[in-house]
Amino acid sequence: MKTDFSTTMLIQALQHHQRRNALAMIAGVMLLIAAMAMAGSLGAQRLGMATSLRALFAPLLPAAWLSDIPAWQIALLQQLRLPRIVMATVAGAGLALAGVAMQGITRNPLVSPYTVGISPAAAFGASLAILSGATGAGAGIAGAWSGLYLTVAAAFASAVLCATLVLAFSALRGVSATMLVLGGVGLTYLFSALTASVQFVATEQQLAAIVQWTFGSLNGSTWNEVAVAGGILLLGAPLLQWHAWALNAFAAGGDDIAASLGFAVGRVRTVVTVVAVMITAAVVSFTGVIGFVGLVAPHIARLLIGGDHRWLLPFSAIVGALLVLLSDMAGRLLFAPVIIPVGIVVAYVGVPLFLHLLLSSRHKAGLQ
Amino acid sequence: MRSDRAVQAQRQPRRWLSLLLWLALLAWAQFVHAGNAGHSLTFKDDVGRELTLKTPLKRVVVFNRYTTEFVRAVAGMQPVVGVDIDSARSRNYWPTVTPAMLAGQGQSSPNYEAIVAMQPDAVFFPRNSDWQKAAAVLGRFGIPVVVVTAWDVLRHEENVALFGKLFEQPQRAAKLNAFYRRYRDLLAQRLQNLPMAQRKRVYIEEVGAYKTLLKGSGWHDMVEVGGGVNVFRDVSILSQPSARGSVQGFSVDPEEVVARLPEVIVKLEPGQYEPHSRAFSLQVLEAVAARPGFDRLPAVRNGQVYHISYYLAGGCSKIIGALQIAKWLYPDRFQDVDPDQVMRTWLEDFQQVPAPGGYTASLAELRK
Repeated sequence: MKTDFSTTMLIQALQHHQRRNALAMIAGVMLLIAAMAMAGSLGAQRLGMATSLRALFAPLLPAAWLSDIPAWQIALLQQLRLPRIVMATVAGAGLALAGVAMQGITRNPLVSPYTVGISPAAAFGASLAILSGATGAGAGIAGAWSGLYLTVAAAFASAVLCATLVLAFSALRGVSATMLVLGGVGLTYLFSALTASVQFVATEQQLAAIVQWTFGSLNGSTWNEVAVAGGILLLGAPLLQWHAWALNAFAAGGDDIAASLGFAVGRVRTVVTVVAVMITAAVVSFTGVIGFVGLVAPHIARLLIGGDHRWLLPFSAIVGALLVLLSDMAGRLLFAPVIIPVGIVVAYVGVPLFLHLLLSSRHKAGLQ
Repeated sequence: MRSDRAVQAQRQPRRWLSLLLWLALLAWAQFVHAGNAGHSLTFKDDVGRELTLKTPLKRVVVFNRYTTEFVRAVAGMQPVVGVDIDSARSRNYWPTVTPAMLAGQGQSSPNYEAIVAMQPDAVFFPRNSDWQKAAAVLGRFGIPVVVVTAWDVLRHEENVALFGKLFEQPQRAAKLNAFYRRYRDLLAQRLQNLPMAQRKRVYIEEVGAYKTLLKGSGWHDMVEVGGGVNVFRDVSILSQPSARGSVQGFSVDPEEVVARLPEVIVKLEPGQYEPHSRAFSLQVLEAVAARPGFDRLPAVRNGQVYHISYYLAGGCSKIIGALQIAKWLYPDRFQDVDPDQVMRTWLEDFQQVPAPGGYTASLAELRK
């Protein structure tokens, strides 16, 4: 009888927990939709919620419904503001997912795509491309575009190279969490030093371009960029979700417990790392360095819904998306028409939050 | 019958006359229509792109202060619907610029939404800006980006002539070019028989201490056009380690400066329309004179240490700065030339703002 009662209590507690998480998820999604709608109506041109919604669905609406909206306002929303909003959502969600995945496989709550060297490596790649004249000046519009894409490609390649090095180093000792973190920290310093060296020899114009890139910005995001970054996120997110149980096993007891539960520790760690790297590289190649999202968003999510990765992964993505979207909105509106790069605003939000988490960490099991 | 023929014969010239009148009317109508439709101009911009624009331009957004100055000199401020904040810092210098006209922080971070809302006929960027992205983003809205680098003194006449065509103000463009040519030719004429050995040796320094300017920079040209010999004219940037900087700011060893015994020192300081205070200039120049070993330099011993604001030095493609240098170096040859008066003409006639004066200072005068 006692056992039955305990089981019932446990099942009820679990159901309660799941209901609470489902509610939190629904609330998060609604909040995200509301924030996206608000971001759509606010900017250098305030369009109003109704106008922006009509402009958004312009292709589906009869012309009479749109007669009071100038064509350029519809184009502004569809070609400038909307890709920016979607890119902010993709970037925030992607970086947060990568963060929670990397924290999971390393069992280290202070790990993020930035601290394992991926973002600094992308910054180095972009800096190198800029130093080599990838801005394409003087080569006409085709040269300009090839220059822009060269910067993106170099950032992506450098990020992937960094991840390969981290995995290769850790593979020498069996892909352990400690090796991943230490290898990442070492490469963070290496790529930061390389970027600093590039800045040291860069001309004034190149230096300005590099610094601008490292600020992280969503200004002028295009649908093509959204398609690439969003596509990789759509491919990667289900893969990470597929490994949610494995991440729970890592978090609960480390490699031994995960192995005893039948997970191939090395393979899972490699797959999750590669997916997290690909998502991060795809995002930062287009947006530049946006720090702290990958670190802070998982922690906020964990505080709200706990450490079950089945819920934590999607909820972190929602929190990350909200964080970047709201930061970008603040950056666009606070000193308009000056646009403060999102990388700076996120840091202003992220750093105090991070410090708060550090200070209160001794009360949280996950941070001990 | 005879009378009918006679009547017809009489009417024949009238018919021809009426036909001619109709043709003339049609031709005139066609001419008027063509006039109302405007002309189109095909030209190559600074980065070699062939562009075709309808002229005259009636609404333009301009990034970079020098470009805005040229537009104001050629077409006035009426066609300017947007500028960057960096160019419009001085309210008194840009009295017609309102907050609604601000189109972003600077040439590296334009606010695309604000620009689209301004619905310009064209947007001007210098070649050291992020014009590639701007062209790609604004191109989607049918807004052409024109790359014109007004700070490039070697393209002065070409740039001004282009503005004359784009705004259909060829006479005002010609007047500005004549103003420029007059002083350029005056300098050449009065310095042509001055042997190289007799030319004064000038050490020109940027904002940072021991940061000089080399061949290839506009400031170096300003010194040499003004009849001076840049003491570092022999340094080729190509043979120097990149870490020492660029032609726009090259780090030199203090010992090198002392060893090259400059007869005149020119210290550049960033400035706005409102001139620096005398106290500031004195502080800057005393600090230069007090540097170790400088007391033995002919420039310091003879009180030939000068402070010049970017505002005067950069005026009208640096020709006013060159005049000022020439006046300091060879007062006998330029007795009748008053650089302050030339600056006054530039400000009052071409920029339509009062000339406050006081953009230069000499240590000898300040010490009196």
